[in-house]
Amino acid sequence: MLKLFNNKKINNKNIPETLSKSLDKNIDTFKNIFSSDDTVIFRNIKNLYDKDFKACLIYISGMISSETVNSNIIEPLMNINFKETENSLILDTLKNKVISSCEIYECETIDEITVNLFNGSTVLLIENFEKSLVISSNGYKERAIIEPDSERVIRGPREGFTESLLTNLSLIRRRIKTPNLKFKFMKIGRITNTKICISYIDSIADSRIIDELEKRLKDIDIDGILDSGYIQEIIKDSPASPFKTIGSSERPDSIAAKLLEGRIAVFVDGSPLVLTLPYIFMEYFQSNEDYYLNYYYASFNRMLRVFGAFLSVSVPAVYVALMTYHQELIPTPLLLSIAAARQNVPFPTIFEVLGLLLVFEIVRETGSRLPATIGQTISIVGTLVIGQAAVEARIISAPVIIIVALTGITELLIPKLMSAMIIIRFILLILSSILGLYGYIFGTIGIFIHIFSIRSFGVPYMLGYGSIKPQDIKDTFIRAPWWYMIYRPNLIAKKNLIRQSRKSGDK
Amino acid sequence: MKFKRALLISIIFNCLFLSGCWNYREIEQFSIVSGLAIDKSENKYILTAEIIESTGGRDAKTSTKLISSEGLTIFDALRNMIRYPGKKLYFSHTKVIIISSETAKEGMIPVLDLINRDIEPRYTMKILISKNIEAKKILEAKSNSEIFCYTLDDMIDAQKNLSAAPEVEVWEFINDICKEGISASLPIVTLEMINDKSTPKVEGTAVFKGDKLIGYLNGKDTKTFLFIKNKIKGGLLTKKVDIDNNSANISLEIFGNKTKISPKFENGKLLIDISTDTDVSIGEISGDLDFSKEEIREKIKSYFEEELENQIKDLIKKLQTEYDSDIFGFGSTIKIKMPSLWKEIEPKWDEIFKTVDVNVKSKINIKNTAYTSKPIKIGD
Repeated sequence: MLKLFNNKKINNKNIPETLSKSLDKNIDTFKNIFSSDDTVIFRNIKNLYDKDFKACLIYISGMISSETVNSNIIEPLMNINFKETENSLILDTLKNKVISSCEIYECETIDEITVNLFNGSTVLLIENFEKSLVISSNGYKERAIIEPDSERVIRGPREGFTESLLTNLSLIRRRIKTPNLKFKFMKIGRITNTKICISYIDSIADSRIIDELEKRLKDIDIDGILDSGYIQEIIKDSPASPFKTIGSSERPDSIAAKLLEGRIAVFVDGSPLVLTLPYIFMEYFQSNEDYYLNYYYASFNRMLRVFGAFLSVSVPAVYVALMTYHQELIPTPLLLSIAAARQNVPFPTIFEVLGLLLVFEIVRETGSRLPATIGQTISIVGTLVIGQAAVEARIISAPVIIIVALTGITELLIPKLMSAMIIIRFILLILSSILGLYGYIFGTIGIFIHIFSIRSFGVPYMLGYGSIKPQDIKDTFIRAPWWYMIYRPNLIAKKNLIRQSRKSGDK
Repeated sequence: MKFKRALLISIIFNCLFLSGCWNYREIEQFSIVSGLAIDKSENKYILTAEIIESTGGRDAKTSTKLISSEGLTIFDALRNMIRYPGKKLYFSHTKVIIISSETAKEGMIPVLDLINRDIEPRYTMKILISKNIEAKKILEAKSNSEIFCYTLDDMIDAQKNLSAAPEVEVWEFINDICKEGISASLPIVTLEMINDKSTPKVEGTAVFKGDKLIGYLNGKDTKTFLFIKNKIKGGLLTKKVDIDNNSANISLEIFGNKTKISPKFENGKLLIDISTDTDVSIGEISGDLDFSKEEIREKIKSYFEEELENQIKDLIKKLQTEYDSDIFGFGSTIKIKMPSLWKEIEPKWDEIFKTVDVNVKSKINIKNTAYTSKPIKIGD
């Protein structure tokens, strides 16, 4: 069963590959294919004027809009008068003159018909024809276009992607109105047959990256794709790295902005998260809102995010290193108050920090999956039990609570980077508990060597970090004003770098 | 290949995780020493340390305790000290070392060797000499729950506005001992009875020759000494002034001072030029002097300039005759400015210092008169 569609055969029950002339035989074929599937409806149709006309409509209930099928397909089919039409031209007449549907085509292979049925099309089989008509009629329920919860903004468009591929494409098309915007469809998943769309702007995107992406996508051989996360993980560079080398967003405006910078988007049917690539490290810190707000404020926010990421990764490790190896580096009054707080605490500092960080992660993970109604319980348990009671019972010293709280808050500053930060934080923490500040520094050096060595589709991950040219750092730690963003990011949009031309004399 | 990789990984693992934490120590496992007093009796060093004890919990409190021990060397005494708190002592946060004058007279090098050698004590600790009193007694003078040595450290800092004692850190002192053409000096701490309570008082300078204590300067001389060393940061100049039959006590507040020492070699004779340039403001005039007039200000200035010049001359004379110790660093100034001459005179510098001629020129600039521009006058 696994190799179902790969072998171009529905199954091994002697099913023909193409349609035959006999309507009954064809119906039997499909009944055979969809045996024990009662959602597939076979609707026999006869004509008011022509007693010999026999046809059958096949569709899957729930996937079609019954209004469309009733009024645009069934009604004209029943009421048409074929008397003046030659028998051999019936199919043509139906296709071109009778059935009013925006998308209709002839199809003879059983495989293709089946797949179209699953996409919500209606199939019309007619006696004496080896071809069928596939009529687009899909009308399944979709989620409305609402603001995505994961990426809220104060200023900016509020639309978010839905689970429907075509709706998502339309959201992009509405923003970028040029024939240069290309959408290429693919199908991945032996069983799920998931539709995937590669989108890019032809005049900007690097064709070599597109070729590489297509090659990697074609190489995927998996039973099913249920979310874009599957693809993200399968085709990414440096698969063992905790860092993302393919980005994702739920917001059409940020995907459109990435397309304009020469990136390529991958839409996956059934997933509101659209992938973009190549993805560089700085994109973690960029928010689409940065580009809509005042650039001073946006730059400040961006530096805050970078600083927050640094703090979140370093604070516990540095605290442990200072407390257990380098007490001479702590200012005397601070040392005295921490020493007082640590009196009678039974555990070593490293276990205190490690344990409390784990508890924090547990509280966070619990809270993120809980129904909203019992979510409050977690915050009570978190603050009262862990925060206050543990300190009063002298199981944990108060400074550690502050350290873990700071770590936790700064971790939530960049939700996208969270998974990488958690791993790095624990690595650095353990290193600095073994070697003190040396351990922390070695760990940091290691991480920097790693992120400077990886690439995303041939583009260096740390693009722009080594440069001091104003045009290279215009969109890194700062967000330069729009009138200064003359060029697109180097190396990503090599082909077409000029983003805006300046009027002469306006320099 | 696989075996090699496994071996490599296991070696790294063992090095990192099985070697133990060589320098790992929890913060509550040691006693923080805030200050140290060193005395000597019958060839044994007596060490007294103020250690900080803290009680944990919600209302964390810190208190201090004095512990004493003796040993043949300083290190010996320190190790003996561990017995009392049951914890290792930690010296990285020690701020003050008090050394009794008796110990200092016998030489400072044996005392400072450990501090110079060990990694824990900081070079920025401050050294004090307890004049004619056991160093231990100073630490015992502590009155309330404060950390006494940190208070003492603040007291030395506050001296900047009084210029009654030099502020010397360990590295500076060791440098001065080692350097040619300069002798070391240290601040003095004594006990004074205030309201039946003995209170420490930091005033005066201890003069060294080599590493041995040989004499003292009082607070007033110390100010002059700091003028010569170009280390005046603040303080007052006060004097009774007679101008046109009006006499008044005047206080000038020092804002900044620049002293230049320039050695000259003329007609086969060494001459040292000292010029001071002091910015002051009129802080107080307790008398009827119209300081808004320029000639009166000029007169005030000349009074003070003359006084300062005389003080400097007197102090240098005192050092030349009484102590024979070049704490001003004239020798090292010559070494920097006239290296070839220094090579010649270096062996007999001690002799030359006693007789070297000094030329002093003081300049005082009255920069402002604070908040008033007129004296307070009784109306008719």
